[in-house]
Amino acid sequence: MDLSTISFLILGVLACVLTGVMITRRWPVSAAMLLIAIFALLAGMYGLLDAHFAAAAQIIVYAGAIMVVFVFVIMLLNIPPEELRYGRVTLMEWVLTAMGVLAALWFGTRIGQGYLGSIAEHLVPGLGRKPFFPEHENVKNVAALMFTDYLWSFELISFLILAAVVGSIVIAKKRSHNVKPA
Amino acid sequence: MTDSSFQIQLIATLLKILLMIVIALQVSPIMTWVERRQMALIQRRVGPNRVGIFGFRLLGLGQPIADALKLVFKEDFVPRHVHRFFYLSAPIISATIAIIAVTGIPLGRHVMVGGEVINLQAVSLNAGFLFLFAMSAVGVFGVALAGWSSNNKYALLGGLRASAQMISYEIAMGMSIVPLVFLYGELDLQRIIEWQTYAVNAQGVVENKLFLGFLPNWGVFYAPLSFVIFLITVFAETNRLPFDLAEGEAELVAGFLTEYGAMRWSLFFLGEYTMMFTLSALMVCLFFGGYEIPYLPQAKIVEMLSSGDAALVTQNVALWIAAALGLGVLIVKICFFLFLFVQVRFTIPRFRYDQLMRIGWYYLLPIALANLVVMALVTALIRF
Repeated sequence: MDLSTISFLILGVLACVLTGVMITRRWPVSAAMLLIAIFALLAGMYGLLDAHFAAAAQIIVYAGAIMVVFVFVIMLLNIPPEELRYGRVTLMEWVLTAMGVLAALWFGTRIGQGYLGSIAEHLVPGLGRKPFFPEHENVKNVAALMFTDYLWSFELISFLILAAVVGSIVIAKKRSHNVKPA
Repeated sequence: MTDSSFQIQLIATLLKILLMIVIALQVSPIMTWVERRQMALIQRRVGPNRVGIFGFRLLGLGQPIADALKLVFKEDFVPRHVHRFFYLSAPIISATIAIIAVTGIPLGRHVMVGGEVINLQAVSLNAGFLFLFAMSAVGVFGVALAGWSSNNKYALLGGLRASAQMISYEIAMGMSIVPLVFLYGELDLQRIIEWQTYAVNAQGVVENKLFLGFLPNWGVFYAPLSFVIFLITVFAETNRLPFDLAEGEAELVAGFLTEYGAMRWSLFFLGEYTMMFTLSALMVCLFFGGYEIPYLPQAKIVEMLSSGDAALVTQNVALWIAAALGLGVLIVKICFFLFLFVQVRFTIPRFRYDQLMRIGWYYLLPIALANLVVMALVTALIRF
């Protein structure tokens, strides 16, 4: 085994172990910090696979932006673990989860057709087609894939963001309605 | 890659990382002294000028050594009400992330060792300067954790402010950089610096590129608005005055630093100054031609020294000389920005929190977006 394989294994095992530790933490801040550490480990794994752009994006987007917001909210509420209720999952929630997984699978086959095509091509040559890789540069490859095979999913994500924006405006509006004008 | 060349590259990479860390660690002690002297000059005081070595005062340059000795030998006190693990790890996170980020700065073009071309950038990733961005993005966790784990309301408010500020300004920072990516078509800092320095003329000869015929071909002349926004967001990202709301002595005692003392406290400063150094270096590379001397590119220096009948040295030695010169130039350029940081600190008062948020969301972000759209249109018109 060469050096990078060993590093990859170390990172992978560490990520799995830390995930186990993370979901058993009582303090939300501990869990959030462990999640950031796991993101860093995953970024290291992407880097070892020569996907440097994915690694940098992982850190910038997940660890740097999303988790900062998470940590902000957790710290703002600052609820000690005694006050957090860890309830049991009801049957309805199981059913909803299962429906969600099925819907995700259905959409996944539509959205991820570029990915499925490349798998099919790998299994039986001629069945699907190879992904479009114009250059040996991470960023250019990602951009090219985003505007060819994954155009649909890329555009759908902007709808998701639109929904989130509308939702946040609705929430903000509701609060200002309740405040009586002075 | 053969075995010996792999070994040369491996050792070279380790040495480069070590060199970067050594350079970066000098920044924080010297900057504390510079800052105090400058503050004294602005406030018409004398400032720390007494401490010297063996009777030589050297304008008080012994002060950092004395400070470090004091901080190391101070009692290592941990308050009883803190979350011990996070309290202890927060300063380490802050300093470590800043030191990791330093390794992404290019120091020079390349040198030859044993027939191997050694790129003078310790960590040269395919994603280029996004690595530096990633590190500056996660740098806030040290501050936020310190605020939370101190179990103190002032500290918590400081940590919250730091994370809110970081999110707000990071978006504008990212938006201000995108036009540069249009401009250069590259993310690799080495090639960005090359773009700003060299051009291939009609005869196929590489020569020095000039902007409008007389200015150095620096990115700042192509995207001045990007530079201004980037500069402001760098101040915000490094928690420097006028954006150091996370500390805010006037209302928060010392913010996230309230419960810290001795070396742990100074580790936060180590992180802050190192991050300032790194982001200044990124600014120099993106907007000011990096390690290249204006009007006198390194390739020309190498050519003058080592070619023709009157060759002074061999090409290898010439490359080393050029690299050393380049390192000096890079440090001079970075020092200019570090000095700017100090000047701004004692010139502009701290913003109020609502002002901070308004600047970030109402002014910087829309301006950055407009700049992005205009630059995209111009790039599209020129290229297609």
